[in-house]
Amino acid sequence: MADRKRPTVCMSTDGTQGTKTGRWGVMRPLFQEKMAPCRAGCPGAIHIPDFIQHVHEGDIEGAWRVILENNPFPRITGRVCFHPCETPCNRKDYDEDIAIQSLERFVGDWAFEQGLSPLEKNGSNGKRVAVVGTGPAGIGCAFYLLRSGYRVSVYEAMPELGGLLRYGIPEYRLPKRILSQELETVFGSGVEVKKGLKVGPDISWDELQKEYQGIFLGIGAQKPIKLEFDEDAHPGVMDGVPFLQICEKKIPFESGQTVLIIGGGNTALDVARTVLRRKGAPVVLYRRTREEMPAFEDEIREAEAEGIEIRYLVSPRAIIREAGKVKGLECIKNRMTRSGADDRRAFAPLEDSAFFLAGDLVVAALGQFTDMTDLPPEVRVTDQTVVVADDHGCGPQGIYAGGDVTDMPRSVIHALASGKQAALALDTYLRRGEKRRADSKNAIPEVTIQEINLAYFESNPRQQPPIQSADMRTSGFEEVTGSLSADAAASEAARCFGCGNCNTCGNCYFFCPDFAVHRDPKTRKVIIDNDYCKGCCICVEECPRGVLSAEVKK
Amino acid sequence: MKELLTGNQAFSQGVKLARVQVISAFPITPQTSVVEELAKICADDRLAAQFIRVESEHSSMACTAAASMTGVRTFTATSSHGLAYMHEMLHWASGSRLPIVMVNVNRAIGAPWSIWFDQSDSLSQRDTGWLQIYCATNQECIDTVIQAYRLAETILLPVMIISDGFILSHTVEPVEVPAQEDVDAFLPTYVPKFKLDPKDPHAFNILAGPEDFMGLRRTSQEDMENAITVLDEVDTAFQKTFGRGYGLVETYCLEDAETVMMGLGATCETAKDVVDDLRAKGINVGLARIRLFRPFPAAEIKDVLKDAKKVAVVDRAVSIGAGGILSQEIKQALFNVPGMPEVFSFITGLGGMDVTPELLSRIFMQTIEASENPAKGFWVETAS
Repeated sequence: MADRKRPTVCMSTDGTQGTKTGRWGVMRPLFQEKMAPCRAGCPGAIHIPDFIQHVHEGDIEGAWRVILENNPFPRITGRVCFHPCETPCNRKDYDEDIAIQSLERFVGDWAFEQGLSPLEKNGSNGKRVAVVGTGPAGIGCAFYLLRSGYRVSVYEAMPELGGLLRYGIPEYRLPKRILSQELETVFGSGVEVKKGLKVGPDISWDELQKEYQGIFLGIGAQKPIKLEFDEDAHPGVMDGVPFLQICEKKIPFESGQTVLIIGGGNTALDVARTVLRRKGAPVVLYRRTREEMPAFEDEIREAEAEGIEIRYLVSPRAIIREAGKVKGLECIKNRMTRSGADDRRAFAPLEDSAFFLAGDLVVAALGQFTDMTDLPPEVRVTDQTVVVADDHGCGPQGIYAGGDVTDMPRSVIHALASGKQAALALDTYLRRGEKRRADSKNAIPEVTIQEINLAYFESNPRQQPPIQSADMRTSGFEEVTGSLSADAAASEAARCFGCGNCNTCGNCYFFCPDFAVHRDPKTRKVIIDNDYCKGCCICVEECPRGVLSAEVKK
Repeated sequence: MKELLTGNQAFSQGVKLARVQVISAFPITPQTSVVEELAKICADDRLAAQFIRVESEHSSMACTAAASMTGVRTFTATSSHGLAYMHEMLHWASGSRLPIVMVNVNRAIGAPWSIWFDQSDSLSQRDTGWLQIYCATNQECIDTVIQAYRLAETILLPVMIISDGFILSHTVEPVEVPAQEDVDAFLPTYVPKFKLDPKDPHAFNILAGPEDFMGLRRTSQEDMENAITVLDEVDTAFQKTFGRGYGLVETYCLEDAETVMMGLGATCETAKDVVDDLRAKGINVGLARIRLFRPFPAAEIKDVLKDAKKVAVVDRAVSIGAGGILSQEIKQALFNVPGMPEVFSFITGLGGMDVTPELLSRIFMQTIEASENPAKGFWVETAS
């Protein structure tokens, strides 16, 4: 046996990689992280699966840092966001969608309790930017400018910072204490704050343009839309947002009086719920049906739970007064007709349906528009809003705008996101004198539930945050919704499919029969060795979260 | 020290003494108590081995082969349908040149169902490149395990040790259990000539062209033939250490025997009594038990049969359409050799049919008195 020339066993002499078996395959797997539906649904593009994965791993600080990349105020959005991220969650077709907003709030509150600072001072780059308006757009913009090393001054016409967050959202949804804490963390030091100073009348735009290299315009939409038949706002008729402000200090009605609220947006319901908490009797009048109501679903549901009367398909026609005092509204009933121009179904008044509705105070919550009288010169405008380019520039060099002053959906997260985008554009402009290209919208495929391997996920109910009973909460202004406990947050994070996002679970590596799956030693992410992958695509099947895809080799 | 052991216990004790490192098996009657006992031995830390449970015999052989590839001493055991289920992996184990030792406790193979003894399971695996050694006593069971590892690890081919289901496996005999230090001296730690090692990567059994493929088959054939010499050496060395040996072909009263009975396994122990009885009546008969079936010891068989006139083969497995399997092998060994005896085949003892002294005596007499010799053998279907 020893003197034979032939080998005993079929064995390569030089390593294991002599035969490139990968050439045999017809298919090949692709490592391709994809867009999770939640992230696609978030106007702020927060990397939701990534932050939830960090929570799942117990790294709450890491989760918080992921959120900060796109949203500096998780404690605020964790309370008031209308969470369009949750609606498309793939998990809803398995058991229930993930409580993303509750997790965001948990992470934000945790970081605050730890005393973590969202701004690590990088030193100043010497350039100065004025942020005009301190609603969500302004504070979002200011945050990302500060992160990039700008010296920021904020101008606020109102006595306190926060814009609509302070003056338009009641205490039971966003406690002022939390808002102030959040603003303090960003504007507490190193930021020049000018409150009660209105740019235009009090300091000219010219001065600002001389003093600062860049300006962000985030003054929002401050002027209430008036009732057609009561343009001059007679006594006994108030506007929604100012009504909320006044209620903070002095109640403009007597206990037990009926307050008729006109409108179907969040402000209308906030007014109604505030009236209820101030011992009044609110009645909301909305001209269409519940389905068309622009208020966020959560708010409608909570208002209903509190027993607030909402009368649908009703339009007021006139205010009825007696001896100068409001006695009620003359109303008419509507019916729905075919689709209207703005996708909401149109309605038409019903003949002979006029009726009288008694009330002591009328609040018009019809929405707000921007005061166009004190804008910087040369800013492009329509009759309602400031016109911006896709980089949020609004005409004159160095002036950018975001939030409700521009034409965009009106929500806190939309405003925050526009502030960030404007900050990035300002930075590009101020550093390189260039226009920032919009974020590439390369079609990253979105993961569907068909790509999730459900065998890897146990069915578990969604963790609900504690919610005060309707009876308890209407007696005061305590927060309606509580926070998740650490245990509940961990359980909830464990439910997340992590659609399209590799969490280095290693399934592909362990299942590969050809040892053709490797991991990048630094990122731990997957590298397919196509020299040896025969294309069985078991890895694609066994990836729990749709990160790997199969394609036919070209 | 002598102990009362069943054949299956003898195998388990042999595996323990051989210091096997990985055992992977799936239970099947009548093999079950071999692996049950080993599982207990491993659980009690009397043997430092990994006992890997699997879901089938195909997997048990795949698992055993994979473990063997890493350069450790491995063991498995099966019977009947389990062995048939392993068929594909048997080729892979021998083609990979792995010194695995496996026990097959003979049992008939269906259909119809039978749990009793015959040799159709192991004999139908004769072409898989495994050595086959048939035991006749429980003492031989324990001793053969120890011999088999030394043999397998020398020639790098897997060894199947075969015993008679129920007749040996579940029957107690006094067995001399070798001392561990003697076994350690006889059977040193296995040092693989090649192995799977991440620190020294090689690809094994990758696609080979016809030239390499034929070369490797020829190598296996040469090494298998060489096993005859190696087993002889191993058996001699064993005899020196332990005072017992078995040879390749065991003979009994052959010196002046005109008619010689041949068979495999414990049937031959019964035949020894029959030889004694017939000789007491003045009939010159003898016995040659084939211990090593693969490689087939043709030269040794020719040598022991050189003075015989007739051979009666007890075939306890049949190749349907061809006849008794053992007699075919013997006829092939004697073919074209001048002066060799006439071979008679007796197909009997299938599916657990008892092969009694009376039956064997009848076979002897029928062979002596035979006026015809059907090519496909006589069927002996009743004991009396």
